[in-house]
Amino acid sequence: MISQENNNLQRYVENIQPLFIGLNDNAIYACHHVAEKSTETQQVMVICPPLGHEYERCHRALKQFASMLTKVGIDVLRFDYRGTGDSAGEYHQHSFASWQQDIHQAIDFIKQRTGVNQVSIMGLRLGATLAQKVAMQRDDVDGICMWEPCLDGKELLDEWTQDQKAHEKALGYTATKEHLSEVLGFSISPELMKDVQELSTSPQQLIAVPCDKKCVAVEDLQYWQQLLGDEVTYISSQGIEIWRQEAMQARVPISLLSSIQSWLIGSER
Amino acid sequence: MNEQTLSMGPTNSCVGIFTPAKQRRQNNAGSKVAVLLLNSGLIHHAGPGRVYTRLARALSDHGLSAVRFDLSGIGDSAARQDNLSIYQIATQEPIEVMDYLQKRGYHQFILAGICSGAYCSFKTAIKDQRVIATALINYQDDTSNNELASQAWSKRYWTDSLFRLGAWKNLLTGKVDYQRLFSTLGLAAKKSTSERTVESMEPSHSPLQNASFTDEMDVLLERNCNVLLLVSGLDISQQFLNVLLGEKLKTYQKNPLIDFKVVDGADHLFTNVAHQNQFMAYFCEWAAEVAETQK
Repeated sequence: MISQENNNLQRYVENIQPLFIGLNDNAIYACHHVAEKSTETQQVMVICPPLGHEYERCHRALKQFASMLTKVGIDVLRFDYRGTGDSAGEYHQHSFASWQQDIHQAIDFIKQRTGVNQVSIMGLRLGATLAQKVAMQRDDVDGICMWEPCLDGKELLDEWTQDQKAHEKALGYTATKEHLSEVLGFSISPELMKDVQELSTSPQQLIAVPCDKKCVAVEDLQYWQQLLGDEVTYISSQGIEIWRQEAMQARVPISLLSSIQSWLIGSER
Repeated sequence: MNEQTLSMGPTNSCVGIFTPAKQRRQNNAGSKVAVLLLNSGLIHHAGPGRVYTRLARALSDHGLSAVRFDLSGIGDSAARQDNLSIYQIATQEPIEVMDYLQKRGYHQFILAGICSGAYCSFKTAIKDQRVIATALINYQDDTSNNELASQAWSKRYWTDSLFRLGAWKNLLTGKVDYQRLFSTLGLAAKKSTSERTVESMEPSHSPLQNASFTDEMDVLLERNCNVLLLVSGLDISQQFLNVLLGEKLKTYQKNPLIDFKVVDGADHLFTNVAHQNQFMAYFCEWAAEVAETQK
């Protein structure tokens, strides 16, 4: 009797398969969201999350996004970069190079697991910047969505410094003067600092990715449209800065996520 | 790293990570003990600032196995399709996880969580005899209890103002709204003379009918369950505990089953790396001591 009840429940519960890719110090934690219904051509998306405190704040939205995609027949892989979430290692042991390797590994893994030849990728903030770098090196990425990519490292460092200083002020002390050693609970290694300082990409460089479908979700739509014309699909992310809100306060931006979903399945409004 | 992913519960939808103990403790003490780390609010099982992941691995180094997992609808776990309330889930799912681990040879459990995770740990510990210890980290009880919250905040306000130089300067230089201050003082005096009870407007979610926090604490102590009350120095939970424990605070301070710890200067979610490390050190030491006493 109980098992019959469980079977009934099972039919309605989302199929999320947690797993580790790789072993020991290189183990990457991931969740494979299995598509609910099959479509003629199987589609797969890999989600590249933001880093540090921003990931914690965006986790819920990205998981909900994965769930939305499974409902329209798309398999999704979410993963944690090494040194983040449940993956091996400490945050300060890693930087852009190892996180790009992780994206490569995640793509290779899901292709092998599902048997598809092409994947789409979606990145948020630094995740978008890293996803673009990876897409430039591969020929099996057929679609890329970059949600508020970080283009200017110095600007990003200023933002981190302000956030950390505001936090320290709220706690009643000042530790960060010039050199940033941590940002809201995540230690910054000299290597990561160097990577961020050297980050400088233009929107034109960003969309030079060799894939057919490109999409950017950005706040300043007009600026991007003027620069890039009709080469990409634009989605407005105005007023949606979920990475700036505490996890408890962050709302899931359903409308924006629905727009990305529509772009992905080719039914943009 | 030798961690394993878990899919638990009746529909396998409860996602968790199992971190086995790296080494056996002396005389195999604590080999049947597992530590469960419960969600802090809506933050997924890696914990705020990834502190649960790091804590599970630190516990493994101390010879203790740990599981961090997500309640239904939080983090990587799918939402439930039945009609259980969040209060029912808060105790039922940790029990389901313990059932799962019991089949793997773990019979005794230490439950811990920050904020709402502390609430779930406490309520589950009362319900389930397999829980040998619980760590309440920045515990705030039921947040719908407005009376309790206002008492805690009032305590915090007075403590802060009394010891803050700026507040005294403002008072002496006329930079305060005297009318408002005196009316607040009058209100406080009136309140102190009336009956001081903490009553929730919400129905009781306690596994014990109409039990207070100290009644529930006594249930745990009677069965020799260890309790760690760990608070952040800058968090309101210190005042919450003062209000909740009331006159029993002094008795509890003498009870060897209860440990009190403060992480000085820390905020509610241990945002700074130094505070995270301090919190983990306190917790590992306490959990290892608890495990040491188990055969």
